Amino acid sequence: MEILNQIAEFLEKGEDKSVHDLTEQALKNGVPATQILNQALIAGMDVIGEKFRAHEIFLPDVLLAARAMQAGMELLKPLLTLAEQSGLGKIVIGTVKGDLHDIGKNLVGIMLKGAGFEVIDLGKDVSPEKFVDTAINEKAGIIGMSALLTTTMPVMNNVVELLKQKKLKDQIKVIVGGAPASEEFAAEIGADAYAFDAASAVERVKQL
Amino acid sequence: MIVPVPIALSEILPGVKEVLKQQGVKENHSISSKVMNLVETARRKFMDVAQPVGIKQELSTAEFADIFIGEGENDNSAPLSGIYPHADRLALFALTVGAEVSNLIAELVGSNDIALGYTLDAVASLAADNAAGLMEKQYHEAAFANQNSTIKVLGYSPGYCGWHISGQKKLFHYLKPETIGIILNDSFLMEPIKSVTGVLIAGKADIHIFKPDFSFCRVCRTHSCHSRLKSLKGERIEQWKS
Repeated sequence: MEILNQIAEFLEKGEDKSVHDLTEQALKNGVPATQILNQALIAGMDVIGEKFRAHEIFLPDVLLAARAMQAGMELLKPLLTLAEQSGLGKIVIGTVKGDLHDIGKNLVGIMLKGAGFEVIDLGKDVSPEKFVDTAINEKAGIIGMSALLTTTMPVMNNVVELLKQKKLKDQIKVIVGGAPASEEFAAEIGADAYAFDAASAVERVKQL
Repeated sequence: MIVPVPIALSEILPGVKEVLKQQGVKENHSISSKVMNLVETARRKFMDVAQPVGIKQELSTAEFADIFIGEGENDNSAPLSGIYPHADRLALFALTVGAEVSNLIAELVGSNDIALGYTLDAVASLAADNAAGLMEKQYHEAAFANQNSTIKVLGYSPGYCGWHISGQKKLFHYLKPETIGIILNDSFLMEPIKSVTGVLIAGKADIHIFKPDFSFCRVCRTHSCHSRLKSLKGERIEQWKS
């Protein structure tokens, strides 16, 4: 459908106003909200994600595309059912307790939303209990944690241990990221995945 | 004696190219007008709300030794342990670009303008780094203005290169950055987050040179020491790389 392609193209260019106006037009034309979401907004963000990973575009382009997606989502969200909003699944993210650095985590949230996940962002300075309780209450399948400091990394281990205590380790997957984290660290604490950056986070989450 | 250090906004505001580079944009990449506008807007917002302030305090090598030991958590082979004993002069420093910048970033991100929020965050981080660079420059000019020497001033901060972040505790006890609005939390993180503390070490260029092959270098993502070291003695870095 031409209008969906146009929305995707404008999204890729970061033209938020055009995305908003065309999404509005598509809805008036009777195009279902789920179709606009999947075939225009998420499709556009998929292209952005691929180009970003291939270093054809850079962070500012991703940020502008995400803003354009948000402009379309504002119109679609009231029309989508909770299940449709969850898309590929629900993930709880946050910066661990004691850590105040959240801009990297925010970027991961944007990329995940763009890929079609429902993201519950708990912000920064998040306790292990809050991560786990939110995942349980929201029926999220994944917890994503970020830390910038070696001193706050042990909190990630605490979350994994808490999941084990509650016998939820198999149901709720854990992905970790942030400057001091690594594949080795993730394996050591029993996390299910590690992501080096926001672009790879989406791919790793999809694999979980 | 703790003394205020003037930090002019115009001297720390990063350029457009600097911001784009920080965001991973390659130098020869063509920049769209939308991206350019985003960066320019972030720079303007920074100029509107930032209130940079700084303080410093000279101290002796012996005094710094106690601060550097901190809570006893430093890496065994932290390069600074081999640098500061050879310093001609040292000064603790603290600076911040102000709480309003962090508040605005949070506000933008919260209102879904993540693009501007993220870009402003990049501008503020660069500005804080630039302010630390300005402190180095000013300290050099003030202390060694009349000397045609090989003296080089470099700043080192807790949380980097083997100086454990818990070292902030003693640094704060000594310098009292609370007087310029910087507070330390239980995780030794500063608020406002766009703040920098550390020690300015003035000494012959050679004392700053170390081989970046410590255990913590393997997990370091910034490798900011490379450019610093290169400016001190480029050929030695090339040797290490080969």
